[in-house]
Amino acid sequence: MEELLKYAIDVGLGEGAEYVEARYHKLTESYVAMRFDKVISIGKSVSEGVGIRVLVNGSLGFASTNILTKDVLEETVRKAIAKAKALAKQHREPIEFADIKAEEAKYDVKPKIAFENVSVEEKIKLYKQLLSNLRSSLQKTKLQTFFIEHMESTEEKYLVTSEEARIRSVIPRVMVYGGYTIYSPEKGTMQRTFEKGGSGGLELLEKWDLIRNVPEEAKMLEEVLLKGVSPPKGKVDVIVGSEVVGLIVHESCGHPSEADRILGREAAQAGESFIKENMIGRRIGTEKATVIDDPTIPGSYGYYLYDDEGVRARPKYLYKNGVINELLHNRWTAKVFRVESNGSARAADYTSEPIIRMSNTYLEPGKLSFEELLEGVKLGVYIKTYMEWNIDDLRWSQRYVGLEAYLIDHGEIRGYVRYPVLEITTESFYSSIEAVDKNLEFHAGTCGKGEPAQGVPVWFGGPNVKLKNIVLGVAPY
Amino acid sequence: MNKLDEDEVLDLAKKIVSESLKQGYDDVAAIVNYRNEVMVKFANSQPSIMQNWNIISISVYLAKDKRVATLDFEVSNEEEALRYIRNYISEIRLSESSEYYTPLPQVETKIKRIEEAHESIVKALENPEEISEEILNTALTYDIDKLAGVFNVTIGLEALSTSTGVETLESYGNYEFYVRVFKDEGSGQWASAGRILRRESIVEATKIAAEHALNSKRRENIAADVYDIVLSPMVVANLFNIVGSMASAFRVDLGLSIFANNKVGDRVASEKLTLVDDPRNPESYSMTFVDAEGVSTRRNSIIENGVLKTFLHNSKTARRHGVKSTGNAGWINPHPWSLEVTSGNLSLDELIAEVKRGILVTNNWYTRLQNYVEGMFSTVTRDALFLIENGKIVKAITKLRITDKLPRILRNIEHLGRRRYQIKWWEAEIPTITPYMLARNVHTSKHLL
Repeated sequence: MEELLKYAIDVGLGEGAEYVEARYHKLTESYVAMRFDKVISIGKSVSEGVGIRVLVNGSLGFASTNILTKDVLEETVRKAIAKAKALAKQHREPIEFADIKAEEAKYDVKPKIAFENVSVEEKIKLYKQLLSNLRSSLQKTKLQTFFIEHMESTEEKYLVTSEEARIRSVIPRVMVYGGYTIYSPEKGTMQRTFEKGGSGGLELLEKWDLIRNVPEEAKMLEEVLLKGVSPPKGKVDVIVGSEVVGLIVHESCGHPSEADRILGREAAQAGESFIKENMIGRRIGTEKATVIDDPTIPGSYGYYLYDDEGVRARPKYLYKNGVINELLHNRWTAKVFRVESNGSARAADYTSEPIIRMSNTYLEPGKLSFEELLEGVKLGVYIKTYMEWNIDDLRWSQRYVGLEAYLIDHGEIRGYVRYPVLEITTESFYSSIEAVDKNLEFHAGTCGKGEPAQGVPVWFGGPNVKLKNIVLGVAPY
Repeated sequence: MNKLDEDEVLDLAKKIVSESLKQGYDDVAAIVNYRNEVMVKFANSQPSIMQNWNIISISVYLAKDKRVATLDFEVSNEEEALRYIRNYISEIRLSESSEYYTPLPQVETKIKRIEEAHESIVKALENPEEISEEILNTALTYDIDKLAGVFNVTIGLEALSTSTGVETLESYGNYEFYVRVFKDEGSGQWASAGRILRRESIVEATKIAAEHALNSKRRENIAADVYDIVLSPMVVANLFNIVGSMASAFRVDLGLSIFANNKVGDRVASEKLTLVDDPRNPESYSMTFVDAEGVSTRRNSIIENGVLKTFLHNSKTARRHGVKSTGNAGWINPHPWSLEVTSGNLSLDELIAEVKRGILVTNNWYTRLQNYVEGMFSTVTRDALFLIENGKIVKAITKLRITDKLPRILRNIEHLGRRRYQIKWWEAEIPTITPYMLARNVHTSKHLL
């Protein structure tokens, strides 16, 4: 493969490209899908090919193929260059890349329990047990639907660039996605979908302990469905649980900090950003608002040590003590902003150009216990989980509808709240953070961006967070 | 794997079926797809990247002793795909029989539909820079700040072979274009898609986006409330991508559908609404004559004059529901191919004239559901948004959310526009041919802090 990639580089340089990057990228995935205790299907997918990116006359071209012969690869490179050249005269601002130190590296994640060491039979048995426990946990409602999908994947990459970068990596991951509906004749339905993900092997299943945690949560949702009341009116304190906090920082800090979005490159798709080029240093929240994006967390779903432009990864402090501090950069945006790339370029597969992505984005935890967060809340709501959410295309106005939610009365959890709505601007959220606890948790998701849309694995997380003086809405149920 | 010609695409599908049967699988279907695709992405009124794909993909359906598996390959040689298939027999034996298993339908469809893609598509694939220039030049005739968007063109071949004797080969060629234009505080977005690339469609989409941007360059706040809402074809396409997908009988089984508690014959929408899936429309971006099981596709009314007429089925869901396949396979999940909302008889001005106090929403994104069975959802408006009072647009307004229940919106559709547009873009992946639509009493929300 190395020889083939080097050949692609040579062809590109011979055709006059200023920069050529060839990435062999293979994704192998296996799944098991079940509905209740029955298997729907199992399966496998393998995608393997080469993505080539060229910079020529200030114009960027990308081409990919899974026909891995020298001839087709050569034709693919030539096509990428010819098309990029043809568009060059339509550029008003030539594209340039910031310099990097070209590195040679090889890294991988070693699973403790390899995929092949647990049979499909055993996985089916595990999820049957989960369902059985879930049914047992529900005393007052009927389980109307249940589905689960188990996914294992291995991502292998080999990146070679005309600047002599050589990066190889192998990352196995596990993901479980499921959902269920509970039903009460008097109260209707309540639905939950859940996702777990991480890098590593099947030891992650033990860590997640889904057969215990999913039924425990369902038991609480049953109470919320049957006993939940509308949230209190007027200004109250709100404790936002780690899952919701994680999503909020992903949506309202991570995305708007993507420098390509700030420069308008995603304007027709996921939109732009309220953060403008001159806003580094601007206050956006309280001292407690520190958000970090860190690809290097071992075991994380968004784990990598070098990005897909060959730049070494590191933690980025996007908001630091309430101030917009650093953006997510690739080599193009780094050049525009006159900084160094901080290694945020990722490509989902061989058909995808590397673009700026988050990895594992989280709000920095503090030192308090959860009980200490509750103390002093006379009247409030604890929103532990969510289902519906969205945010506008500048990443300013956002909405999260609580699922598992509780009434807080004089520092204690005393009742259930049905579908409280946190609909708030980015600045209002970060400026309302009064305290954060020490319980940092991460949650898995697949983040979408780009055209064609690229889904990449990410973690988002944070501790439980106390917000002051919040007005909650209620969803139309 | 080498580049493939027409016969080789079908031969490869047939070879995969015969080799798989030799391994002991009971039912086999194989789809081989070979495509050439070019995409120009724009930002800041210039190209940001030109992307090209030259890809062979192989998808295989396998069943053994009622155990079901799907395999997807984009691999560098066919032998590797065959090796995975051979090795998978031991894996599938460890699974359990699927409650969805049913033998592949005995249809023996033999179709060979090879047509040259329309010359406009062929030309655009060869010289996308000419279309790109046209788009930029059109936009620059307006006093705008900037333009962003995507122009995409694909030519491909798709072959299907099954163990029941299906052998089909279809060619396709299509384009997708969407554009977003910015002016001061305002923006506008529009889309166009199909199998014939007409210059006037590109120019019109760009013009609509530009006019929406110019007309919304100064915006005022209004309070969230219950409004009559005129949904543009962009918004209808986004919401009906969700509604159309929820007609899949498989999604009903999983509890991911507002039709989960409905039977065929139930009234689920206003009598003004007829929602069709029509893969035989020759103008459709995704026209196709055969589904993944070899069943001939057909025009299916999902909702006719407000009444649920059918769920979308493959042979598996059809057996479970005691009906026949509707030609919408998906080996596991049946899906709509190409959605259409039947037109009404009003012009856009006449639709607006029906509104005493309401909003014209030209675009939206980020539609998410709290509860799929009950259809509780919200979506964020984006781009131009206009307040309507006493039948006339009075001013451009700032963003809010539509925050309601899908079944309620379906029931509250009162008028439909005459002219239809084919929409396909980032937030509406299933091509949708639809007019403007007026829905009464729609709930909206805004951030409270």
